[in-house]
Amino acid sequence: MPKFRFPLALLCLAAAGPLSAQAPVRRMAVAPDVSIRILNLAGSIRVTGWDHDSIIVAGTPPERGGMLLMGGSERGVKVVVEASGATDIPGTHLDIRVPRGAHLWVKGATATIAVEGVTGEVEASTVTGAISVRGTPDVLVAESMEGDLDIAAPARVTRLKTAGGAITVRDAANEITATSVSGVIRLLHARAVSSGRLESVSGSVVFNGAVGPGGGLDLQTHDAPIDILLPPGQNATVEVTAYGGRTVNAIPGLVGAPGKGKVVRYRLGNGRARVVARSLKGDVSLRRQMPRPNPSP
Amino acid sequence: MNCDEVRDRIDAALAGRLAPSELTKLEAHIAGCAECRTDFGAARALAAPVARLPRAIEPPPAVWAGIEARIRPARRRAFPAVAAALLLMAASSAATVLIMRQDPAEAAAALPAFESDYIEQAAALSRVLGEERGALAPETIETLERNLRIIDQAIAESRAALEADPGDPDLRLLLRASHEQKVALLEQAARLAREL
Repeated sequence: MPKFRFPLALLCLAAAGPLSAQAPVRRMAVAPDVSIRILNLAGSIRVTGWDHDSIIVAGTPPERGGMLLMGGSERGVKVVVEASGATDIPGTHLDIRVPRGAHLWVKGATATIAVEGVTGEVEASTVTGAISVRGTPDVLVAESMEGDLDIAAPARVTRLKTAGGAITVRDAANEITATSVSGVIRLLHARAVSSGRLESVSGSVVFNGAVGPGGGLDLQTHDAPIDILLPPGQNATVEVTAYGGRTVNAIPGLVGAPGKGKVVRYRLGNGRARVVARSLKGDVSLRRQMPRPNPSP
Repeated sequence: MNCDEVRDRIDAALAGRLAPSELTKLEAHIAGCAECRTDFGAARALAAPVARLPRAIEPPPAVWAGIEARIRPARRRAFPAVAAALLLMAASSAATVLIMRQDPAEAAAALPAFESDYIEQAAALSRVLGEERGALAPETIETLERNLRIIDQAIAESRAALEADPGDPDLRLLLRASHEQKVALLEQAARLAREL
């Protein structure tokens, strides 16, 4: 996470006036892999990658006494909505276009964050605002205390974290870690996960998809169910440890063998990938993956 | 920054030798990577006792007198002194390796130590958070406390299960995971309080 600090004077010089709704109010030429730091506590932040080496900031005007500050160089840009301090205002809505290869650092508090079409690194965090990411970022790090994370962005490395917010990931691939304290974690239509760790204390965990050849997947809860749905062709050794809950194997013809301690081991195909599920009090179920619904015409 | 790069920089970070930008990247990675967080915590736990060690240990006078007596006849030849120094270095390195290499069986028996590291980290973070608590909205504090209660309950139940079956490695992992969740949540809240 790069922290670039711009002189206050520079930011003040770049202070924008009132934004007119959706009108381009600020344009700046930047490098294709520019680092961009965006801060807007309340309202929304929408960032879209495009095929131009420039940034455009549009949106609604900051409320009473608030101010939009923008500054930096072609290598690093900072966009900040400085709040007025009033708590009864709806917040500012930012709509920002950035080069696809940008490295983004986006922060909100109650603001929602939506990122689309960025192929560089993306780091997004909120307190209660929801975060959604679409596209193929190189590295994705998203975290929120209470906001939900909705991700359809198969990155090379993905790290997701909430305290109470739900985490939903579609088309996950490669290396992914998702942890939550009380939020539900769902990986849907995962494909070729090479290394995965899904962990919630009291939220349920669902993995619906494939683990890559030789890949590893670790699923864990304290007192919530774990649901594993694997495709018919999946080769994997599945080790299940359920202490207080039940182990439910709903894959026809699959027979578990007792392992060390309370482990029950299942073998699918050549068993090359490794799936481990453990829960102290939750049930663990093992099922065949449901076919993916056809996309709407 | 990937896991290997983080591990290469942990010592420098603890010694305060890392550039701010590198430190920020390292902190960001550690916040999202339980394995590196564990490594960092272990290194940090080791750093304090290591820092308290004396920089040099004076040998008892009798030792030097004995060495001096033996090398005096051949003072022109530095070989015995060099050999003694090399021997001391080798012995020191071997001792360090023996100390650093933790036997898995010993590790399994070291539950209180393993827990106490996390408890120490959580307490330190709670202190930091206590000082900056005013920066967080009441709803955020409520969310934080609710989730901490969930984790504490999980820790208590996992610990009870492990006490009943101390040899079960999966129970250790469950207990460790709950502690890591607690430290991660406190780190996240402390970071929010600092940045907002």
